[in-house]
Amino acid sequence: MTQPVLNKDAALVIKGLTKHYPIPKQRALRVALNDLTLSVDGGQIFGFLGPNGAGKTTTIKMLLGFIRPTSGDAWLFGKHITDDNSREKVGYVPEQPYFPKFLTALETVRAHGVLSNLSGREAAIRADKALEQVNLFDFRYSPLSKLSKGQTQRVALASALIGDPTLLILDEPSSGLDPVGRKELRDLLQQLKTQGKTIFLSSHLLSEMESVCDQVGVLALGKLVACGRPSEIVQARDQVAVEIEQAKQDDVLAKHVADWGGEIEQSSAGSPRLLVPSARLDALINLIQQGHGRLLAVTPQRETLEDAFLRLVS
Amino acid sequence: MYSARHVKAMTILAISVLISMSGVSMPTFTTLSTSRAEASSPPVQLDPDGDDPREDTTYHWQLPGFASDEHRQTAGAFAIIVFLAASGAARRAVMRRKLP
Amino acid sequence: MNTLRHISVIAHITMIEGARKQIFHVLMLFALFLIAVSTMLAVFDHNVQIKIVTDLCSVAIMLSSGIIAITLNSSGTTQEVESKTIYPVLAKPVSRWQFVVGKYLGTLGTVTIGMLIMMAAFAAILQCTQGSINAKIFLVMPYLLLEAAILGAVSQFFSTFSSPPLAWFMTIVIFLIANFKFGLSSYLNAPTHDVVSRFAGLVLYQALPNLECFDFKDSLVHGLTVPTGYLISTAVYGIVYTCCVLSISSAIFARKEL
Repeated sequence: MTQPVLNKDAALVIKGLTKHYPIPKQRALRVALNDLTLSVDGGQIFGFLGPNGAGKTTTIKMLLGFIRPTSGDAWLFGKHITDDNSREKVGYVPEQPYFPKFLTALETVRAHGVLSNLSGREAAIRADKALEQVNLFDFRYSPLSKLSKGQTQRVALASALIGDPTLLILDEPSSGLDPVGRKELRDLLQQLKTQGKTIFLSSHLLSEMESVCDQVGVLALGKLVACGRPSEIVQARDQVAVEIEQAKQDDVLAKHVADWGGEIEQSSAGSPRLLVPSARLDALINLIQQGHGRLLAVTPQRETLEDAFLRLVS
Repeated sequence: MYSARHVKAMTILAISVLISMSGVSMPTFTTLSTSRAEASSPPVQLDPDGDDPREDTTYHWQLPGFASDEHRQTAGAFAIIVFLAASGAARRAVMRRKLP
Repeated sequence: MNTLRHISVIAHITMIEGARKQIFHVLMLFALFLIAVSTMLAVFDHNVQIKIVTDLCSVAIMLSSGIIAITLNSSGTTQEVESKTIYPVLAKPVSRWQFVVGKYLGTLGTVTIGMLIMMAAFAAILQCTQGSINAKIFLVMPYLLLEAAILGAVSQFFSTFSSPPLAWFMTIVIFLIANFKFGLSSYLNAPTHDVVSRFAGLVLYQALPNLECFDFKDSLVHGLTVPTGYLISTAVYGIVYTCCVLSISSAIFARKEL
């Protein structure tokens, strides 16, 4: 894979970021992240994909200063990650947010507002708005011990949004959310994008990433194996799927499909599904119209992001 | 090669080390001060052991002495604070110079 | 300004959290029990009784506030890391040292609350036994708080690199040694000891705080004056020593990987 071109004015710039961990009782190092280089332009939604143990959370932890890189650098809005002020306009939602249980939702969000360099009064005003934005205003006086996992996730999101961050870093934001919650999250992310915010999110829900992200980066075993638009990463398939209805099995049709290099599979409805090269579509339709079945559907075949992901990390 | 911040940090460090090494010595506080009644009373004859016979021999106390050790510790602790602050500031100054 | 805001928010949350902890309630009940029981132990004539009650109550306050400070600080930072409540905080533009100082000041606030309650109980006991309250006796209380502050800082220092039980234990050992520091010095500097032991003794002697100088309650109990210079020197010593230990803790915590 060719190294992505770094935009020095980008919201997030990562250059050669590497993290090694010593393996206990062995004179060896475990490579958690290996020479990661990428940049995320402002106003984009960047999806960070990878299987478990690929190095996604390690990357995020280094960006936020929780752990130190073995080598390499990163900048948030031009400020080096070792500068505490680099996180001034950054909002972070961890995969599993934990807060002191005795605080209410409002107190938690307000406290994070002050930690985001807001005054007490400003934090109080914005806390209400942030909780409204995540549909948790009615539960603002509930202690966190009484909230569900999904509601706690929303409190975390509100805490991240209260400082009006320009960059949002979300680690598996959909985990713990029901389908309605996920839809609301997708809508919220699009709304934040229209406000000019940059979003850097890691997720396993690839179907959602495909519809939401402008750019994606795929990590495998600590290395960046692909980076670009989803349409650039998925490979085009020169195939169509033709679903037909047949009274009985037709050997003529099967022979032609085999000669063309295609295959026959069963659809979910139990009817035959013929996968053939796009160039043979007209010939196949003529055959079907000659009495070899009834045409039900024609669907162009393309690689999904999930297919591309599995191909890249295998 | 060194920025003004580095020079300032090192100067503060050097001054603090010099102060702590000069062995700041202060007079040692010994026992407690006497009350007004005792101060106005005539001089007391000490007994052969050197003790004040007016003192309660069954419950003998003394104000804990604040010796020069504590002053030296105070200066040393202050030097450590300044050293850590200066080294932290110097490290942050070096990191800020790294440009993307 | 932002630094003060960060520290005050963290301290505020820590203080409330500390005051809600069961261990704090238990230690407070124990201290109040000791203060109440002191009247039963003093069965002498009136003057001696006042002195013994004052002595016992002051010791109860000193021990309780010290143990509360040690216990809350030994687990505070470690607990935040283990429970992962530290991540949303440090993801903000909050420095590691602001977090350490905020946590420390929060637990000190909890200790202060406890001490105020104990002082109120002490004053009530004095009122009941003496019929009046001698305000001079309370002059030692800020210095007992300063002693607790030093112990809390030492406890937090150990907690940055060891487990909470070990940090608690090591601080208690230092509490005991530092209260007998001069006696230890003469023992360790005896010419019969080998060079290594004497060097170790010298290092310990120079590094450990002298906690004896904060406890001048005996003078106050016997109605004697404490020199102003002594009070100022002791206060400065306590504050600078505490700040030094906090600085070292912050430096260690800043290098820690979470």
